[in-house]
Amino acid sequence: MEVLVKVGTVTPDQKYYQDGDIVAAMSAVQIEYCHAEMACHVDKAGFNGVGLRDVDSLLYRYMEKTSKYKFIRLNSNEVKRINLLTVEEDIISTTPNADGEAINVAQFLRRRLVNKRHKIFGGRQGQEIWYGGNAPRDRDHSDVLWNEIEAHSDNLKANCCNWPFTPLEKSGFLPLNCCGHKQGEVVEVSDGTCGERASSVKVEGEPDEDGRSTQVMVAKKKWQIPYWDLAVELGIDVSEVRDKDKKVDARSSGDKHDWNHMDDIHVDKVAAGIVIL
Amino acid sequence: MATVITSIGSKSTTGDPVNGQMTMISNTGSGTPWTGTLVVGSAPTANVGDMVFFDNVYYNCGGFGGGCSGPADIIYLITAVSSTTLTIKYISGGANSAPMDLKANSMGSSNAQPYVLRFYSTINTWNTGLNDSVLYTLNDIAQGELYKDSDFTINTTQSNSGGQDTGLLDARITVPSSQRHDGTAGSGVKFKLASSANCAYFNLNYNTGTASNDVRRLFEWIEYDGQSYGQAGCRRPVYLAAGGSYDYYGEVNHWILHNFELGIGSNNMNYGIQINAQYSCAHNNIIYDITTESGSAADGVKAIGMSQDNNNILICNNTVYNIQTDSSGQDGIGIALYDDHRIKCINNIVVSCADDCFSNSDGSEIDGNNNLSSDSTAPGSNSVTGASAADLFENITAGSEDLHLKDEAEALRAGADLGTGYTIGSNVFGGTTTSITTLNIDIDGRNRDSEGDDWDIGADQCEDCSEGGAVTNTAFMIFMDM
Repeated sequence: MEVLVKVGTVTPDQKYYQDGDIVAAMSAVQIEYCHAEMACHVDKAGFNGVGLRDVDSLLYRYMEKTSKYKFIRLNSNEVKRINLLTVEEDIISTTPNADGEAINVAQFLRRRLVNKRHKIFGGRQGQEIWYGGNAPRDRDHSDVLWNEIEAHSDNLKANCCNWPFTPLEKSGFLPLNCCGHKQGEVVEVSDGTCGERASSVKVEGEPDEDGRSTQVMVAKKKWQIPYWDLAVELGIDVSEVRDKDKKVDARSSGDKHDWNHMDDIHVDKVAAGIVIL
Repeated sequence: MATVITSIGSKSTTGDPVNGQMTMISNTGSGTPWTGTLVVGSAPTANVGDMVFFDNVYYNCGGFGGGCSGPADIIYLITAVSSTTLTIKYISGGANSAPMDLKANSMGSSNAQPYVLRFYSTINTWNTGLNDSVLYTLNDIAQGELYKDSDFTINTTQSNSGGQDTGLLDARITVPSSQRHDGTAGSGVKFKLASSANCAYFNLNYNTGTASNDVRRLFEWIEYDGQSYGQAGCRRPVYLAAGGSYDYYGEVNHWILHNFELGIGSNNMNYGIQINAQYSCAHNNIIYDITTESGSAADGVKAIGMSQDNNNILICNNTVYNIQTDSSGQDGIGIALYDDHRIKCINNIVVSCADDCFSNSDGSEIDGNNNLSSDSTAPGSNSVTGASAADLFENITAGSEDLHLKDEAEALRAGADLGTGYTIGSNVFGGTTTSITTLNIDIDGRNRDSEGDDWDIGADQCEDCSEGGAVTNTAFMIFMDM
């Protein structure tokens, strides 16, 4: 996982960001999808002679691997819908099915094709293809997607391991990476854990008028990395980190086994008594 | 007072920039921070709010004998773009220099070649920057502009809660017109929920600050896709908790919010958009496919609802479709508001709900007019009841939804004309002086007011649609029957 750590404190009030707070945390899968989307971006796809996107484009391959539904126009009235996760198929037409689903395909496509970023594919009009819904976004699906991208382009997953923090974020914050560790093995940190590490501290407030519970924020961020005490572990010069005119990127590009362990450098501010409930 | 625009997106590194290295031709400017124009060799791809970034360059190059300080990364903010001329302001790094004084080598023998990059890569770093006095001064408007460089996958709350110490007037997250959705999923700036384990909601929140004025807050033109992940323990994707007076009111508009399965615990309610503060407005949003999480013990879900009785709230021109529950004991409600003459519900479509499309939260009727429902609950005068989704919308096929209105939809020309604003008490919602945005722009960006449209109900204004209408058709059918 990668984290962005707040540098500097405006006020000691924990309702504000504090020095060392984890402002953002990104999982490896999240980072890989971000780079995949940029590599396969619709603006890079171009149009073919009939104003559609080519079915051998990188965008097409991306949509095929990241969507739940594929729609194929069969004729002036009918569309085949394929659930790419279950391979179930059905036909949608102007006549509503049992769920009330119906489509005027000509009208639907007319509206979509007006958009210069449309994602309607095909070699000829009348046989258009488009996608909808989402396939799961997890380690397995990311690997399959990147296999496809690497097989059909010069993009390499190995070059897409870092979140694209801007120069301003690198000079105003401290980017770090760290790994999970379980039973002596390096493990990938999940999206759920990443989200929790960037979360705030809330407590139960007064019930609302319907007697339902409410929440009150008591600290902007729950977790911190006390980088000022971890200069050796993180390989940083603390004075440079605190100099906003200097960019410090403490993300390691080496073997993950040599990365800092998440549980060694993350501090739960509630458990540590920094935030009092 | 100035509007300070900063861009947010993932084209934010020299490896994948908005624009690659540029050749500088000349500059004109002065001051601290240095502000002026930079002319480059050919018109770059650049936007107001992006940064001009000098990567590892040299500065303070001496005259006699050469020699420079550095290297350093130096950042300027782009405040205007006109062909090959960029108007820029020095932000950080190296020294406060004219860009032409920045050099590629330590001897100062050749000019540096800057890139164009996004200013931030996440909303949360933009929010953190709202209290940065280098960027903002008292009474500025902070406007973060999202770019569709990639989808934003989020695992934690996206906050709009800073700026109270710099004394901002407004903190706005918006989308440039070239990056906006067209009313359907996947067509513009899109946020995706990372996984079922994340409660990641958009939070407009009020905090007291050291500056004398408060901050109005806005999120607009965003698609947020819950990806049908079952979110155990999660209450809502959008939380309007900014308002308390008109000085710090909160607003969400032109969202597409869809495919959420929310699962806060027992004796609790889930929301698509949860309103928890006075002086709040939700307008011209499309919300569909919201349900309770499988196995959730929640009381139910409301597409738009209030968690406590407040006032000075306007809910108008929203389109809500398919609000369901996991179990029959739960409530699946479209719009639920308290009855108060200062809470208004106007021009909203709500169809295909597990329970009431519109519901009062305190036992009496919602105050509103010109609403439309598939059941009998649309409140107020000039409302339409008994409509069906299939007859209203272009396409309700799962995975390919298009909730624009279609020919003969009963919502056509049936809305109230909200002109350029709607007055509640002494406050004009959607007015040009007190609100952040106007109410009259539909989900496609059409200005109903300047076009002189007869307003449709819902988020879409379909001028191409023919009304048809039951009266005309019925008369024709009667004639044929005779």
